[in-house]
Amino acid sequence: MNSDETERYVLAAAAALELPIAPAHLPGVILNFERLAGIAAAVNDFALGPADEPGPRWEP
Amino acid sequence: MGEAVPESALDIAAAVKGGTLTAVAAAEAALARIGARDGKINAFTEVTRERALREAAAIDARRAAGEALPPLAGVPYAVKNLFDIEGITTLAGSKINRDLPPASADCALVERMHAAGGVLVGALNMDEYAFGFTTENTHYGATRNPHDTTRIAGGSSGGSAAAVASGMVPLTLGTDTNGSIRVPASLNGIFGLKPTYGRLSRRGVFPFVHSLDHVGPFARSVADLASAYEALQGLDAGDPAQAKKPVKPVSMCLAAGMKELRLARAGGYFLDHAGPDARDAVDLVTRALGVTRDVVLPEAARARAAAFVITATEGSQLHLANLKSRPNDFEPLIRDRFIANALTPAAWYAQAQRLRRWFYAEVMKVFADTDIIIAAATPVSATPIGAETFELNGVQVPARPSMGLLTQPISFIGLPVVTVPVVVANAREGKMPLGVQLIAAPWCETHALRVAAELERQGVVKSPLAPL
Repeated sequence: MNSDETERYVLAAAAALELPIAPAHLPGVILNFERLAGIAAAVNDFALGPADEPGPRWEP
Repeated sequence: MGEAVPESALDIAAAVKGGTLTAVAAAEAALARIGARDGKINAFTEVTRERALREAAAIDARRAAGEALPPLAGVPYAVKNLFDIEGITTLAGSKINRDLPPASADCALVERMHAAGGVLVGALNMDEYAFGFTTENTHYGATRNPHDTTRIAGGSSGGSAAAVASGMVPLTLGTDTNGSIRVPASLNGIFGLKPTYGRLSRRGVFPFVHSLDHVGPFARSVADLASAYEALQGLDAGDPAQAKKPVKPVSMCLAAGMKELRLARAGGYFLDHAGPDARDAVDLVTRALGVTRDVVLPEAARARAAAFVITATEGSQLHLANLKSRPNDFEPLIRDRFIANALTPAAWYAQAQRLRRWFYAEVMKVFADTDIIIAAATPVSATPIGAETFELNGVQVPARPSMGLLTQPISFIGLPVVTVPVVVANAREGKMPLGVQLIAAPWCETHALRVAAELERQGVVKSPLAPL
């Protein structure tokens, strides 16, 4: 995502969650989301197969 | 008062049991130390004087009645302020939680410490909602490192570590989601145990990230750490994540030394992200133990990234209602990050949880021929309070998140770790302490404690009282 796309995503996702973001907080939120996206890229780029199950295991 | 009070928990308990020290005198001495020292450190957010004297008097009464006393009889201790203490509001480092009613009961681990004879003297400062590695808390003030009060105590269990390092109490409890026991243990020069995920009950502990949260003790000796760990064990139906494991005595194993244990140093990522002093600390430990082999935990950087994503998602979702209704009451240092984290796409979170199991399987292959993996606990020693960055091998990195670079991949898969304080010359950094992680396979806390005890016997690791 470029900067404009990030801002649009932040605003749209916040709207979906009904999470208001004060104008004074928005630049910091966008900056932090960009950092998170950068970190998450290393996770999302990793190839996993259908048999790779998630960590938490439910024990009824 | 007037009775000599030993520094170690086990020595206090022995003196109380032997009748050379009363529990009330030990409690009064701890309260006096808190009164004298905490003004410089800011470790305590609450001192439970009445309760301490009441619990101590009960121990003395039991001895007077001829009862056999429990293992930690009369030992003063304190807990991070996200552990429920009956009658006190559980702050979790926040302003928001001040509005909650006082806890109606003690959390499970305070119950266990009480049963073991512990005397609770207070609650300890932390990063708000455990989201941080520095304990720079705007609401309650920064906790200061007893070895240099201009520097951070680490976090998020900064008060827990500083209270022990400064000798105010011999034992404290903290939590570790991404490194919050191991980072402050390292920066304050004390011992910390993060047990296997699910080993100890978290009932009554305010959560940060349910799928990553651990609880554990801090101390200034391996024997004290082990005795606290023994006291804290036990099944508790109130924590749905707790594993159904029997109580495992560990103190009797400390003398076993290194027999049959296979050790290796963590190479790759863990050396690349350790500064010169941290690498020196690891070298001292590996030389002392005769370790000549490196192992690589594959994709450790991605593991750390995945821990970040899981933390972001679960940690923010927990506070979503308050982020909507009262964002300005959050810690200013983390508010924008909390809001951004709440927007994490579900696909990122699911991928991170799947990577978690993959990474676990890869690391378990390493444990097929290794019992202990040795790695630095923090990339550098304690940074100045307020520092935004520090230098790591020629690169300026953001100070607050980067203190967890070496701990996050390990807690990501719930491995037990004893952090040991290394006596290193620290020529570059003065006399600031640094810790080394002794990482064991799941449920093998005893292995890490045995190696820690061996290092302590050799004098390679120890926790001198911080000069205040």
